[in-house]
Amino acid sequence: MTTKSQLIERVRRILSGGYPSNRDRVKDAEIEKYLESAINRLLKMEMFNMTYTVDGMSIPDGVMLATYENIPVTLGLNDTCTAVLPTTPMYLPERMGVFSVYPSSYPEAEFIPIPSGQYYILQQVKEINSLLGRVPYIWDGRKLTIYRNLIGDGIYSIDIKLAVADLANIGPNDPLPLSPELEEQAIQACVQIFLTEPRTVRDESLEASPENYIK
Amino acid sequence: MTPNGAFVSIDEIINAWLFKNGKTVHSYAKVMAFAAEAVREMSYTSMNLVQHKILIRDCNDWWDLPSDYSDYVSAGIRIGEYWRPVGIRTGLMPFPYTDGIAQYNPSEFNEIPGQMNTTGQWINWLGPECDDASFWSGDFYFDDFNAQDRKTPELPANNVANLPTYNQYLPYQGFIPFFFSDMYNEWGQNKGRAFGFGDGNRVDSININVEKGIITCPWAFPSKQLYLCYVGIGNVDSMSMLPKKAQAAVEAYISYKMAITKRNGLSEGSVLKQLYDNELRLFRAKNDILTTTDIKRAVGRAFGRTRE
Repeated sequence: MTTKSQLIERVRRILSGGYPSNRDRVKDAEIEKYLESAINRLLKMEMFNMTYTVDGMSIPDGVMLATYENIPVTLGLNDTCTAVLPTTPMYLPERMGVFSVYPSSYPEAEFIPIPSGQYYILQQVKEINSLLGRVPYIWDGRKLTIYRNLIGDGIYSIDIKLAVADLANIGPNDPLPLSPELEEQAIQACVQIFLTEPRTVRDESLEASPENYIK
Repeated sequence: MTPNGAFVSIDEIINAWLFKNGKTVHSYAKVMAFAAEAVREMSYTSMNLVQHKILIRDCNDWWDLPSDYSDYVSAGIRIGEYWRPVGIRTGLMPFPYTDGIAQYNPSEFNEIPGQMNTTGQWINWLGPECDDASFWSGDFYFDDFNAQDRKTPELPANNVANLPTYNQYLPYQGFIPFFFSDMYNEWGQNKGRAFGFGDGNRVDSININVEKGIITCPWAFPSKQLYLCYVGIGNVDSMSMLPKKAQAAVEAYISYKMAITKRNGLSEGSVLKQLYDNELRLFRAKNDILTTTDIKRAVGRAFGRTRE
């Protein structure tokens, strides 16, 4: 188990040639952003390896799922409601990035995802268009369109589970959803980005780098 | 109370399939489409979902078909405490004009019997409005060969002459070749009632007009209620109660269809098709309650000692 702070320190140590300093040209905030990108990419590869196996299973590991509670819904036209995704989920087959949508605190009343562009086609299929009373929704961009007047039903907010490693919501000392074998890859990926930058000569004078002289 | 062990809902089948196949709610709608397809197809041959409904007509000569109607089983009218079966004709009946694609053509309303009112209902196309028709009063009449267009209901009189009108229930007497009639069987024996015979205005028969969604009846039909047994499929909402022994076959069908609709899924799908065929065969075997003894007895009844 590792944390963002630990990873940042390890990256800085490599970048500074073993002497990390608060005068380093690359700051923690920059490293953090690159680390997040690298971790997200690794997690997605890992997810595909682990989730979409030959046995046909396609359920993302729970470690990838983040729950966002009490997302407000807005009444739309023609008995629809809309909600805005709190973050951009992963691109996954079967639109599994938006993993689950349900009225706040009622996960058993999960809504039914319909592929964007197929809702009105489905409506013409009289045999199944009732969806047995389940509530359908489609997902376009950051917007969820829910084809039911939830507000009229007294539901003002929904909970959403997204397949995302939303590192922005993870504190510097919170455990990362990163397995040990991926830590090294994340560090390497991050370091590679900075190492390819043109290097400038560091000013080693007492005025510019006093820490060099305080032993 | 409906025994849970005997029936399964289509929602339960869908969820069971999703769970067993490691799928989530993201496949729900597609799986539902295939489940409904399986139930629909199997209902025609192997899983008749018979519904019972009492239809009531206003002062019209038709009942509206139930919206989930697929095929008929039987129909009857109430006589006292009993339901008396009525014939369901598949022959000609006075039929609203169509333009060939089973759609009414409004510009041709005036050329056809009856009119369509502003709400799209047909009026006045089979005869006058029904007044309180009664089975036991003078409204009950039989067709004959001499007065096909009879308008006045008339009770059958006593058997006074060798007139076809009054000889409905007599043994075959040779006044018409028996094969022109369906009153007699192939040995010339009277079947006992003038079932399905006449010009379509039989008082004791109805005609199911599926294309128009109505059941028509003669204008003197003696009942406003019609007890209809029918195969009802409709949509997923009315597929709520399926026999549980069909579940394995429905699930196998879903697997097969989900496979062949995947990219490069044809080879996998063909294997799953065989599994579905096997499940369907098993399901049909479960439905088949005939034993060899039953079959021997049925054959014996048809070709046995009585004909020797």
